[in-house]
Amino acid sequence: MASIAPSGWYPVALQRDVRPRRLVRTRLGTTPLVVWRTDDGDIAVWVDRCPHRSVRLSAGLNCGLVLQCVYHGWSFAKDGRLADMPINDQAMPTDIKVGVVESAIKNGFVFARLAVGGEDLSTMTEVAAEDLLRPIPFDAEADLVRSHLGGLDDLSTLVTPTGGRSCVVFGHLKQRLETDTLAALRHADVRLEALRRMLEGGAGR
Amino acid sequence: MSDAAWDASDEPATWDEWYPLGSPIDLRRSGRTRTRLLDRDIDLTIHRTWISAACGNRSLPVTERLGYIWTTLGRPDHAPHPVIEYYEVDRLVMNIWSTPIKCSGLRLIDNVIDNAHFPFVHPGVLGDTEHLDQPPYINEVDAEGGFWSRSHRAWLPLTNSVAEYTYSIPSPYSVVLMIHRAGDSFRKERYDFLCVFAQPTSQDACIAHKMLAFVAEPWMDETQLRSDQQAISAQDKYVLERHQNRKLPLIGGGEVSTNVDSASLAYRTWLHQRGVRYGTLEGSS
Amino acid sequence: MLHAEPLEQSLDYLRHFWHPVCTLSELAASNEKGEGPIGRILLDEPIVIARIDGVIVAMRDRCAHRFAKLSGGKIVGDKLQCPYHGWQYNSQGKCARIPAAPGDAIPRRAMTPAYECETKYDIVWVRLDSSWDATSIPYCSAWENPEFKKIIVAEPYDWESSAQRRWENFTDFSHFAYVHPGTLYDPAYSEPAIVPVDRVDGDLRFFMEPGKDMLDTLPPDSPLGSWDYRASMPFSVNLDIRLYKNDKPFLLWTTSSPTSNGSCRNFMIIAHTDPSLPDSAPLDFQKLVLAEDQPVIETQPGALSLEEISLPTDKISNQYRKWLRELSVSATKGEQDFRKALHTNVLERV
Repeated sequence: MASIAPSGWYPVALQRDVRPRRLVRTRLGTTPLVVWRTDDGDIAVWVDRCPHRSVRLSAGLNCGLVLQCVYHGWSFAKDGRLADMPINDQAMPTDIKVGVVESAIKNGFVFARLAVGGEDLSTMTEVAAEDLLRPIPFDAEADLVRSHLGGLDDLSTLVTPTGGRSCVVFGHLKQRLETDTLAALRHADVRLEALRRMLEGGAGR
Repeated sequence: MSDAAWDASDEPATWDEWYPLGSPIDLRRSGRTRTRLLDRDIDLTIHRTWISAACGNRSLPVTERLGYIWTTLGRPDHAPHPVIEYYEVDRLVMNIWSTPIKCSGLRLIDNVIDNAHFPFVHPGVLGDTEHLDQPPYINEVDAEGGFWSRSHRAWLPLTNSVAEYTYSIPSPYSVVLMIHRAGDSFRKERYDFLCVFAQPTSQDACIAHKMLAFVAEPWMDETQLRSDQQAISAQDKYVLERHQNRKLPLIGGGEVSTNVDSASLAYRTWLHQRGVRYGTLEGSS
Repeated sequence: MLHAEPLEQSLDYLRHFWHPVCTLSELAASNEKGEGPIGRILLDEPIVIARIDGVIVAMRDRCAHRFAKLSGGKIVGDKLQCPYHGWQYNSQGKCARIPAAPGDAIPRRAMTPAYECETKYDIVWVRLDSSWDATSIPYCSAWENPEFKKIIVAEPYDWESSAQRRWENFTDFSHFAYVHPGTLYDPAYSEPAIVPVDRVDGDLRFFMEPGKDMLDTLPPDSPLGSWDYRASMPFSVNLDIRLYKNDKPFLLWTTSSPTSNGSCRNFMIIAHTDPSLPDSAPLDFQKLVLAEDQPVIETQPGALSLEEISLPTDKISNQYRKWLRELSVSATKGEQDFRKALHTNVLERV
């Protein structure tokens, strides 16, 4: 697969979806990512690959303060440094690190950035947590999906590419006068699902 | 996704070898007529007393060894690697299973000779976190060019004992594990054998054929043994299918090694020296 | 004496099987009345066979008095009489009359063990230990196929070789070359067939199909065809052949009787479809084949050994040996284990 490394900030998960002692597995472009929360409440976004034998870290264990790889039990602290390597009879190498991805939490989204570019996060408007849409994966190209989202003026959406032909749509409700948030979210969900079915089944592929 | 430019027929180290297609008993039971080897479709015909194989309209040589049907697309100058002890009549032999795995067959072999993962992938069975020490391995190449890695130790929690392991890799996709055991009156050295033969279907996928030939002991229960071995293989399969690099890096490749990885490193170096590129990161176009 | 680790630690398990001891025609030819007694050896035990009151019986060939052989005696009424002091035994092996002391009570120990004895395929079979009753007389297909017009029960012949060795020689086909049919590749890869082998109801079963192109190079009497083996453990082989030359069935049946560790007596039945073929023809051909093998087989030590090297192409003999070893070991553990070892089916064919 040709490598895709989009520049700029993209949402990779909802903050509330990164739960304690769990691991979230996702992608930004063609880069596999693991997202996890420490017991201290910090969220880390790393390249989903153990530096030892390239096994997915997302298959491992969130031990609270470290993420332990399933293969040989290598454990990494939230800054990405190797914290423990169970089998060793010599001093532990100090320079082994996972690939840490620049990340930021804003408006209930976990944002990640592989390359500098695009808009700064500070330009985003504040959003209430209840107004967040559930992320919807599309089996269609990010640009194509984006081009179809213009007509939804009560939603603000962000499309994160997760490969050559796939992406995830994140979004939130724009400021509304009505208070029935749930109904509005459900409505938005229905429309996005319809869009998804249309784009996946048709000429979008 | 596939690297069509890199073909196995371009490298004798991969092309001129025998590969297993399955056990004749399993092939008969499933009525299988098609499999894949080195990106080619292989057609199987099940006759009354034997099984034949063809690639397109080219008939392939077949032979039966160690409970498997073997074939080759090239011209090997040897028969499939012999484990003559398999035929000793006081052994329990078993084709444990044949299962597809989404990684290069070379990754599979690399995993088999890595004892350091035992306490984590097979906790309580082949190791535990109290017994992590591994002695330095002795890695060498024999007169026929085969790779050997000796002096591995596995702590067996179930019996509170240490097993000594020797690995023999006669060809890139075959590993024979020799578990040291007590000898007898006319054989001072005797081993229990556990063999894994990978059938490379493509550069990043294979079928793992696993079998054993243990000296028969009165307490052995065939059904339990098969089930235990399959459970271990399932645990390995889980990890094997979660490598971000399905192919094996021979030199570096973003994989950091420590002293207990010496067997894996020596195996990768040996592959590199033999000219193996198919199934490796180095072979990508 | 060169000691080699034996495959079978104990041969006691053989006592639980049925073995042939003589043909009906041997018994008929023994004297004018054709009722015996005749003496034979089975597993180192002297056996006397006689027809008493129309029923063929077998017992230890040893008079309880002074251990003379009963087979040297004669049938008197419904008793077998010892030639030495005239002690008379009934069909259950109990002494019923002592001429020297007709009035005295007959001692309790005045008996000789009688063995279970059956006649099948015009052959007399004996089982030394029937306490488990876990075995049957070996299979023979001669009388099952109506196509057979001639059934020949041959005269038994002796070899100075164990029954195990004789069985292995009969089923060994890697000592003549033949190849899988239809293979076109490098002859360096051709080898004797490694065929699926099943265990079914105490029989070892396998099927072979040697190449038809061999027909031209072999003598016309040779039974070349597809070979369907059903070999009842431990020493019997029922070989049903479908001849290539005329698609007719041909049966070659053999069972070895273990007289002792290093000797056996071999029984053979031939069945075929040609009523005009004289018996001497197939019998002579078999004698020819046997004569070639006998001198070599008799040089092998009787007991099979774990020290012998097994090859991939020895599959039939390897499977045979594995089963013999399992039977031998299981018999030392008891009836349940023995039954399990003999009657658990293993299917490689579908």
